[in-house]
Amino acid sequence: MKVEELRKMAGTLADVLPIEILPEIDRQELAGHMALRQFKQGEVVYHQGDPAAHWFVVFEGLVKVLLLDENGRELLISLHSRGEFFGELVIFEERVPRDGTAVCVIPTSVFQIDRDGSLAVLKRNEEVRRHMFERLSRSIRKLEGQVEDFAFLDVTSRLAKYLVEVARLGRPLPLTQDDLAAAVGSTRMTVNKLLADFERRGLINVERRNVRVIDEKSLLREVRV
Amino acid sequence: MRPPLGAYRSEAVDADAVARVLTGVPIFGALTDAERKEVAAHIRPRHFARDEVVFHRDDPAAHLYVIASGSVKVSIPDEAGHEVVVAIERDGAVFGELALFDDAPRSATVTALGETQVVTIARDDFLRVVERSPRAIREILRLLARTVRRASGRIEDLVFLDVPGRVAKCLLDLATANERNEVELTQDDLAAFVGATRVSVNRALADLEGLGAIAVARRHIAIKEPTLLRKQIHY
Repeated sequence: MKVEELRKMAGTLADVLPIEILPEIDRQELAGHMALRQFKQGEVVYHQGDPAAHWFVVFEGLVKVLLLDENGRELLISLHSRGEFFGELVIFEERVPRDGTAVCVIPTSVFQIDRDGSLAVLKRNEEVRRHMFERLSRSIRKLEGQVEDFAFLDVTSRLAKYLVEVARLGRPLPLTQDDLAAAVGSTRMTVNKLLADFERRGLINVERRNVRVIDEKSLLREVRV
Repeated sequence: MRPPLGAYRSEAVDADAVARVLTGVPIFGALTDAERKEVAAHIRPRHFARDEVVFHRDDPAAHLYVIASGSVKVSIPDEAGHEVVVAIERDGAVFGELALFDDAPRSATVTALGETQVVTIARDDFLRVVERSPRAIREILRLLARTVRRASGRIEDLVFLDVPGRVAKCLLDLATANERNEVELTQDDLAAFVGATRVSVNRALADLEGLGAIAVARRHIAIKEPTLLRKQIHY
């Protein structure tokens, strides 16, 4: 794909990414370090432990990042949809392997961006750096919130909270019950039982690969410290 | 050798000496001598006694901290008075760095674990100098990236490790932070550190003692066999 085409595609993300803060010459340069990659549902973008040389921006679709333990247990640490970065720690740390596995939840296309090329652009643009600082600060705050949830909340509370968070994103995310279990650090069986209970009490509607929150207030009342 | 910062507790701060201390900290090491001196001129040393709180979660945040000597714990408290420890930092480490980039309040509480000497730098003083140094900016981004990894590592521990594994890991981390094979804390503290109940931590300690890995006394745990302790950490 031509650089010009990639640039145009990236430009369509302007509503979610501050592409406009880059001067033309840097936009051109970044596009030269970019490739568009397409993945099927369930396909892996990178594996935990892989050496890292690229970072990614979702063009369309949905990517989940999982932490895996030695026994194959999965913890879903983050979700990334249109315009969101993942694997971006590679920009800031040299020779550190991937700390999670990135998997496409649905058919997904992502921009793959070369680390070294990005560094030059980052170095020249204070506003881009500021943006990256803010993104990292936000991820840290979010992760610290998750630490808190895992330490203080039981599975019922964590699931109720997670369902509300996902619903507040305002667009249905096609998550399976396995995904939900991985996100709240539980098993599919437990999550299945809890969902059935929430549904019976009229708090949610369980649809195929989607949970619709009907009564957010009551669902939040399930969150107990 | 790093000069002891305790010497600068008085109002008069020797900018040259503080600048020398900062050389060993990556963010500041990336600055030129002149830039480092400029930062050092804005530095204020502060001293904290054991268990003294440096700042509370939700406090307004305007400073960056560097540990000159001693160690601190970074923890997240809940409303019921429980806490979970996110990290233990020792001399040479920087904390409170999130304050540099957003106006949000502190995301965690920081408490001195022993006698601790820190230096503080106001956000604006720091940024004014650092914004001119691409190398220092790289170091800050690397620090943030490390913090991201650390937080996801903590979540991983909470989800994948059982209580004995978490206790073993915590004891090893604390011993490393102290540079001694012993840890001084109550079982309540330890329970808070690993995000578990006192009862289950008690049981884990008894098991670890039974294995000969540790010896438990009042407010004191000695690590006898670090290797044995490390073996209890299975993900």
